[in-house]
Amino acid sequence: METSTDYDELGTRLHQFKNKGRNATEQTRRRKEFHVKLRKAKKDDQILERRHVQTLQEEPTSSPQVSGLLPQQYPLQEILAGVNSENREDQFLATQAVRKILSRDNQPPIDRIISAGLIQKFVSFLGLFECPPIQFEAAWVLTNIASGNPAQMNAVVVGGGIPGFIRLASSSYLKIREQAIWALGSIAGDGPDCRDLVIKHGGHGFVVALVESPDLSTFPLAFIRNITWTLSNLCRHTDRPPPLEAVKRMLPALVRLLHHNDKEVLSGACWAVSYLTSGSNERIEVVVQTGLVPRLVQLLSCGEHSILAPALRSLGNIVTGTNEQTQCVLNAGALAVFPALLCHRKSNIQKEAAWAVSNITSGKATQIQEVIDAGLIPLLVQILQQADYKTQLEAVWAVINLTKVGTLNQVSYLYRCNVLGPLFNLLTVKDDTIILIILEAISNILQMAESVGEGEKVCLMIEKLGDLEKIEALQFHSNESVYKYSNTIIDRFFSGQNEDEFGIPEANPDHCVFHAPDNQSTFQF
Amino acid sequence: MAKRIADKELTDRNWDQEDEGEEAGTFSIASEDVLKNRAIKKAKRRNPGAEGDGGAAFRGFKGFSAAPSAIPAPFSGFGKAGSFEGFGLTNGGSKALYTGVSSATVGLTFNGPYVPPTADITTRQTNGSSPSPTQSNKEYRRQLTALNCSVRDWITKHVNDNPLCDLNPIFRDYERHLSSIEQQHGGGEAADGGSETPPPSAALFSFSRTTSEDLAQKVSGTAPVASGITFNFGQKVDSSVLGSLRSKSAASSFSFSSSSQTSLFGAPGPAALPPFGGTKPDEAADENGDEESEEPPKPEVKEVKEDDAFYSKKCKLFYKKEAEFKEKGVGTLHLKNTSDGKIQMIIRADTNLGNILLNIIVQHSMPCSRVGKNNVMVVCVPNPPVHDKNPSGPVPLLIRVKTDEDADELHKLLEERKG
Repeated sequence: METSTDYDELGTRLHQFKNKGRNATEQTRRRKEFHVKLRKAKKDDQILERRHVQTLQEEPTSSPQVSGLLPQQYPLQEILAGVNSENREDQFLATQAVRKILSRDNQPPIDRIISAGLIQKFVSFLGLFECPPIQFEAAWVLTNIASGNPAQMNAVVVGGGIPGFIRLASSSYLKIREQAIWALGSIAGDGPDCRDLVIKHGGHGFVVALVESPDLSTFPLAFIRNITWTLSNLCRHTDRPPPLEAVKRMLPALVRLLHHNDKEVLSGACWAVSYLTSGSNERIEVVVQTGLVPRLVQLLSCGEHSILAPALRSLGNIVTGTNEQTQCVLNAGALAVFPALLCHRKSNIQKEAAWAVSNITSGKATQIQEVIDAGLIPLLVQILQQADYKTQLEAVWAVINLTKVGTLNQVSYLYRCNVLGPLFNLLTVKDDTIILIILEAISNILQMAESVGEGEKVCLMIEKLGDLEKIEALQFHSNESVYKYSNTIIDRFFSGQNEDEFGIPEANPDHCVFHAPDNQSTFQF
Repeated sequence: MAKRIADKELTDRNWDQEDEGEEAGTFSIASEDVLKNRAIKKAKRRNPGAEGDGGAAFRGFKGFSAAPSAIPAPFSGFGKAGSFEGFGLTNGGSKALYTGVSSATVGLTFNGPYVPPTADITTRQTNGSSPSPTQSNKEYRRQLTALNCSVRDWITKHVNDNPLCDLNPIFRDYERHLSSIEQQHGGGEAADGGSETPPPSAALFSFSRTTSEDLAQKVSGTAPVASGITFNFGQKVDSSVLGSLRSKSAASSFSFSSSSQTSLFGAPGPAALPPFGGTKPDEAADENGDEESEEPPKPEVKEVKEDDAFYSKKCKLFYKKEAEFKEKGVGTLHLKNTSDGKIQMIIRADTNLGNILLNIIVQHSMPCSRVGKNNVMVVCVPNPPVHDKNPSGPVPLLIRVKTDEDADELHKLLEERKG
């Protein structure tokens, strides 16, 4: 279930209008309402006489003078009468009245409308193709209701709102289709259950058809943005991802939107991709198969943070997949952009980039080589020296993965990039896991060096860096594993075992110094 | 394959939020109870002069300030003078060592091309401040003292070994080192830490070998030097000579540096580490069995003297438990005559306390055999006991001495004198 922030946001979109321009979708909504209102005003003149319903609010952004409108001030009886009449005109006016009441930004009496049993009626109005104005007003009303709290949205769903909206796909009025798309996006965004219900009724088909329509380029930008938003909501909620078949159906539309040139559309499409790639390797595969990876890589350089974040996340997700999927990203030239990303002014971007690199260095040696060739290792070392802590953690992972998967030449290159010092500096952190990982990386490097007879050099380097104290100090760590590991490292690489002046010792593990302060001479054995 | 998925779902709703800054924090120390039961190892330093830099990172570390008694001596000494007595440095040398050590943080060593921190020792002054003339003179005196002591010792050793050796190369080196000291510290001139790339030879003083080849050219980084600065004597890496020294060791770094292959783990940057052969303190027993002179000086330990012992020998005592020998300790074995004509064998640990590792009367019936290269095995009821399970049962004890001659000698003595 979505958190309250989510439906609050939905509420914000439609009702509050408080944060002007907080997001473009918001502005879109306001503009839309205004336009519709204009159009409606014209239609009113055509269809109706003047029979105005009292207490009508002309403006959606009405002043607080009507805050806390008392129940008896809106003529519920009149509305009910109008809605239930056989007269289209009356139905229209009543519906419009409700729409206006619910459109005010101040505590719209949604529950009153629901408890008056009106939802069913409005849903049925959605099907009145012979009277588009009623369809439109009803759609608007239901959208407003569905933007309330979860219970209110649920009322719309239970009342059959989803198939009702989907049927509006065949309306010849763009505005009506847009309203429907908006409503469906709102409902789908509520949570995996609603989303899957929309999909079950074919809502995704509706969206896809719009994108694939030859008229796409003629649609108003606001509409395209709405479509993108709804599509991304149909992909959202990665803990329970949408049915794979639906994903496969939506992907081509997504790819098309990825090639649009509007920033919002691109951002929305990238978000959708980031949700779809955040899953099993099978799901990643379905995305990669569409060939959209090069476009994502291209978008990394677009300079727009709202696009960069989801594009980078998408690529980061993909490289958590198989080696082949990872290779796809590398083949698209992603690493060429990474120097800039690893030095990005936003620490979140640095972190995401370092995270991606850490998953690439855990793959194959050839992929590590690509990381090296892209000049990323010195940048990782730089991050280890100085960066936001979370970013540093990712760099630590990148390093240790390299020491595990890398060839001798690659590990020694890493060493020659002066990775040891900054790594050692991180040995003071609180997180036991990180300390163990760093110790493992150091141990791997030492073992590699030993294997070609250069262990002494590295040991000496560590000594010269003054880092032996750090390993020794870790023996005092509260975590038993840290104690054991640091102890083992000293024993393995920094003990005088071979230098017993009496010869090579027999079975004995006890080249130790215990706490007795006088026991100093045993150091030498 | 160790792929890691994202830790947090990123959406169009939360992407712009500033991350709650996760702090690195500092790790927590185990409690005293736990620490009591832990065996804490000390890392062997290959280069006794190069210590203390890393202390900077741990200096502010409060965890050690808590229970001083729980902290072994070595760890109280980050950057503080005089606390490393136990560490195999020369008599009285430890204090001087730490006034010379740079307190520059580790981070500094990576700001540019790699600079061996020992260069820091020779060029920086106390607390990393720019050297004042007085400090510079102090440093100059220290360095000069170190140089002269090194030369003295080197000459002593080599002339003792071979009075016919030609000392000219040594004197040439001496001149060279002397002039470099003068350059850096003489006349109150500031030898600043700005010298990021000292000539490699200045980092560790090295002396060329004399012309007499027969000397066991052991490279040692640890000649006893009052100031604690390392002066190395021995030839530059010479593969043929070194090869003979290290023929048994396949994984030796010497064999690597003597090959023409580029070193994979050499340090980057212009001030590369000097040839490794010049710096390694080789404390291992070599084939000649002559390791006495090249060893690091022992810590000054007051040994409890045993008078009226007719035989004393340093040894290591093992006792047999289940299938293997366990070490009891290192100490000195003394053989004394008792009033009733028997032999008493006492082994005292080489510590200030001098606790008794073994104290028995050598019985006539005590089995005593020569074992291996340098061991003597006896079977007796050990006193003090080694097992609480069976305190009065006989236990095989292994006494290991330095050389096979020593073992022969001990064995012979015991056999002859046990009555």
